[in-house]
Amino acid sequence: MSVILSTIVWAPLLFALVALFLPERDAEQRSRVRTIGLAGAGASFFVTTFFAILGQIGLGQGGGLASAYQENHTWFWNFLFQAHYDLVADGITLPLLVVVTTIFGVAMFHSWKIHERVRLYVILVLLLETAVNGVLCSSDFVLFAAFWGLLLVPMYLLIRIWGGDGARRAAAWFAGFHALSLALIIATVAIIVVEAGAQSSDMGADLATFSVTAETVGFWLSFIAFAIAMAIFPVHTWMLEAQSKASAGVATILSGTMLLLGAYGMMRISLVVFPVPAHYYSFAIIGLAVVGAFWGSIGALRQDELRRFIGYMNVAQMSLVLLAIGAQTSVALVGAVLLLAGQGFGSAMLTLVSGAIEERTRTTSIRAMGGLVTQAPRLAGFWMVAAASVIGVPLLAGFTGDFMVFAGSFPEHRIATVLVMSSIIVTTGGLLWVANRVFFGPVRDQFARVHDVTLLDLTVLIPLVAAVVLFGVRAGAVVPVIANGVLEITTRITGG
Amino acid sequence: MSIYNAAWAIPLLPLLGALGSLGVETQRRAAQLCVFFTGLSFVVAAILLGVRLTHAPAEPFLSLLTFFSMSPPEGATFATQFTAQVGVQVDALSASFAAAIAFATFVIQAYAVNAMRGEHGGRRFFCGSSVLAFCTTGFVLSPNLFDSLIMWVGASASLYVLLTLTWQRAETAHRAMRAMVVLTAGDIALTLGVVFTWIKFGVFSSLLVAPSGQSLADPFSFSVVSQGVVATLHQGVASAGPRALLVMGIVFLVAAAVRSVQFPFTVWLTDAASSAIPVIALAAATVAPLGLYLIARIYPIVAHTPRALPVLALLGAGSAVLTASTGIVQRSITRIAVCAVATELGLGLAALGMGGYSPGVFIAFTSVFTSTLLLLAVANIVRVYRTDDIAEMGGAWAKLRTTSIALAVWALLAGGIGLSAYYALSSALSGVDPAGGTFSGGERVVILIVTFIAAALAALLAGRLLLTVTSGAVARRRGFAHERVAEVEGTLRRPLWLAIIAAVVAVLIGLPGLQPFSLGGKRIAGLTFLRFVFYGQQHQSIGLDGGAALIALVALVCGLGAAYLLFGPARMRVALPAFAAWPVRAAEQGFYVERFTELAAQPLMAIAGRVSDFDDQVTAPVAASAGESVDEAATLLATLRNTRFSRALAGGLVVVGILALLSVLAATGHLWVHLT
Repeated sequence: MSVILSTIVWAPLLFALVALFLPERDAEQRSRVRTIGLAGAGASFFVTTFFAILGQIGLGQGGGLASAYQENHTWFWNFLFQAHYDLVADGITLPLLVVVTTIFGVAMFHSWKIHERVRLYVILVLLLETAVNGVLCSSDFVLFAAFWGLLLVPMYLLIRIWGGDGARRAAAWFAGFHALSLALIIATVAIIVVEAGAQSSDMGADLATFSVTAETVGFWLSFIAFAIAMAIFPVHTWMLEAQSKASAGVATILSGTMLLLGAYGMMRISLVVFPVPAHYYSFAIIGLAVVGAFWGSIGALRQDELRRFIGYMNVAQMSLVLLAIGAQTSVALVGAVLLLAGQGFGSAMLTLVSGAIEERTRTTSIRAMGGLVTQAPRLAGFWMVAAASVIGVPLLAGFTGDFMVFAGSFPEHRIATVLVMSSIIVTTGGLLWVANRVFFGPVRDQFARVHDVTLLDLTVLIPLVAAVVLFGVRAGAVVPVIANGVLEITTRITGG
Repeated sequence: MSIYNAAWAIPLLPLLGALGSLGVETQRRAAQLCVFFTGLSFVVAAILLGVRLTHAPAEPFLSLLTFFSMSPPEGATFATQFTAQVGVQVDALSASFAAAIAFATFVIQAYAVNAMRGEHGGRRFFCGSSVLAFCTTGFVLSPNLFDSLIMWVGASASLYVLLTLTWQRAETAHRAMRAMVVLTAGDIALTLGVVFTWIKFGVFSSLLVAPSGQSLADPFSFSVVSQGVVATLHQGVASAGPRALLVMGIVFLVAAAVRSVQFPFTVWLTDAASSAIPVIALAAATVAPLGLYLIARIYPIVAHTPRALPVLALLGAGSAVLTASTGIVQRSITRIAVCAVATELGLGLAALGMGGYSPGVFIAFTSVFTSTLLLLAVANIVRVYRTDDIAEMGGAWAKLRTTSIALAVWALLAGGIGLSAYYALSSALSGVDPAGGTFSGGERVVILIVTFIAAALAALLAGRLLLTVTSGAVARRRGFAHERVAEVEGTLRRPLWLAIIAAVVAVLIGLPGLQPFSLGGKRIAGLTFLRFVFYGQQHQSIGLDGGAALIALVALVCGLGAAYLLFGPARMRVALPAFAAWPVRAAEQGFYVERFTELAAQPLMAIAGRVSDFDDQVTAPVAASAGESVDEAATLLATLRNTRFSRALAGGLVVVGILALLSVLAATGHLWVHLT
């Protein structure tokens, strides 16, 4: 019996339970706790990566293979429907699992910078990873909703306890929005289970018996739920607050994985389950994408807080993904998945570098910084690599995704695609403008003793750089896998 | 195994040098390593060029690797196989440009080994310039639009790294950012062009027979684009017509205009003028000409786009007039040099626009060498005089003989003897439309007049630069020991001599009327450039155009003569008429391009402020109402922390959890309970 996916999903929780019973009275014990946390994240990462490579070989060769792995057990049933413990890793899930497990691994390394309540921190991060992996692997609506709900409390506590000034408000905003998202998802699941007539909450079941009203309502409920998670304009402010007030490690998880889940849910549920209204309202989706792309890139120019700037950049990047979702072509959707990988890694890197800068300069104000490149050239280099990935420089993770999103969206939405492409000019200008203000220029006296990257910084940043380069150079290995997964979505959309 | 497979080494060797330079200890070692690998790259390129010269009529050599591939199910919209390939293509055009760019990079890097010794950012320069060489040579060797896009954008990114060498100066960083933003606009235009081309010709390409050795016809390849254009004109491509070609042409031309510093996109190269001179040299000699190279590659599109070519010619000639005018009134010698480069490329664009494919490409080819020569000479001058202000120079002929000779050679070549003006005028006079027939008389006259003015101004610019720097006496100024002005050391003269020889040879091989000849049994189809690189199946008639030669000579004489009168030993003072004051002032400001660029950012910042305010005052309070209700709930729960109720609640939750687990296990049949 294959238990690979269960291992990926539940391994972090098992290690969290181990960590629960470890003491943390002195530095050595705290280090032990962190090591257990790292082992949990690492186990998930290694299993994912190893079996993703095997799965990639299988899916990349096609041959009608829809998923790399599947596990299915009946979970519970009642007079209305059956729910299954159903985990699937297809062409979309596998690359995203690699992304999230990498980021969680990096975030766990970053926990060495946490000195208070280390055990609680490690447990919550591992719990969060369980929930994220579970969302990605779920092939049952009820299971999906359960894992989605599991995200809320750990993230709320992570933001609230280890955040800076204003963390309480940011955590409350996150919880409020995420609770609303969860409620909408539960409502959507209820509609699906009750209306579809399959008497099953299985995502793969035939759901062709929707009434028009139910389908439209279900689409909008799910779209709004996932738009909140993606931080799409106008429901993006929670992410700006959380990004700027959470600790660097938590903000890394937020920007690298949470936004990705929203896009994933939108593709997996809104497009697949409600294809007719998704196509009918595609103009609205595209319109939101255009507005969001400019809102994020232009709004970023006015920010004085470094992490808030990154938050606005995230809004702009997720709008590119939304453009692909609105276009609903196979090429665009493959590009969207690649873009999620690129955005995840790039944004995580930007967040970690900004955290390192804030730590050294003791300020979050861009205006107060300057000339840091002389003291910290490697840190500046990492920023530049991250910015290049976000902009879409070739041979880095964002390029192929950008190209495929534009190529896939252009036939049906030419003006919108051209407008969104134009926003990249503003994004480029914004990232370089911040680089100018933070790194370049004359050295300021108060930063004369700022030091460059430490071994710990290198440990968290180098894997991300490697991932960005790998996804950029070897896009050819990943595209067939994703295409296999996207094929199922487009088949449902076209009614084939 | 074909010898042309060695073409892979041309871009990869500099990249290897860049990677290797990161691991060596000293900056000097890093510099030497990079120069070595770039030199090796040039040697390979030169060998391949030699081989190609003896096999000029052969089909282009292609070597491809698949970057990614997928099969979109939307067969009516996309091609059945979406395959993006990278690789190399060796034909006359790519072989000649690869050798030229590799040579220019090698000479500039060799110069910089000593010129930048001990300077901050030296290692970054060599690493960055090698990566830039990878991108520029990779671009000219690209077999298709997708690969071209990768190399094009990569070159922009590499250039940014070079422009920020002196990052401790805020002004430099600001200018580098501005240059990058302008270049990104060109990158977006090229991306749009590539996407649009694929959308239009993708399905068409799947109907074509795949070339030998390949499984499918590459929809991004230049040959498929060419066939697609012809098919479109014969209504053989679904959902593509003349309007599609027009859009395609416009988008590619915008990209090319930005890269080849046509007005008003000159700002990126003038911004580059604030960085180290070897950086400016690389930008001017190896990056800017790629704009014209792109037009050469997509020439079938512009050739068949109605009215595109005359507009292109007017754009090029007009840009040349404006940039030459700007250069004439500038005081910064590096800015003058940048204007001179832009002027030459404008003449190239004019030639391409009037159907002169080979002449236009030739101008782009020679600009690689003349720009290298000019910028290295300027570098020496700035180094010796310790100023960028041309008014504080003079007397170089007596003190800096080699540099002055280099400057003189450049001035003669740029002034008209370099054939740029001749070929631009010749193309305007003949006005051969590649789509058939000739351009209208009116179009030819207008282009001819503007081109003549551009040629005369280019000669005036070249003469001004030469005479101001070389004639008279060394200007005296406080803190400058003018008596110690002397020629630079040998390590900085040798690259200059290389550049002089290369520039002269590059012009010689473009002389009109040269015939093929035999050498050791091998027929050299063109040690004559225009018989080597041509558009279509047959080369154009490349005899001597007496009319164009005469007009070019008149322009040269007028320009150099005016330069002699105004800037020579006599330094004749001319009182400007009242109506000429404003144009001169505008030219001094670069026709307000930089100011407009700064002003264009202001509405953007105002909008950014509005966006931020909207988020703070509208969307945030809405979010707060949701968040604060949660906060209230959390506060309420916190009050229960110390009460007995909370302990009871916790215990109850544990019991409920255990019961739930048991029921799940029982429901799924995993609980072994035997009830009797």
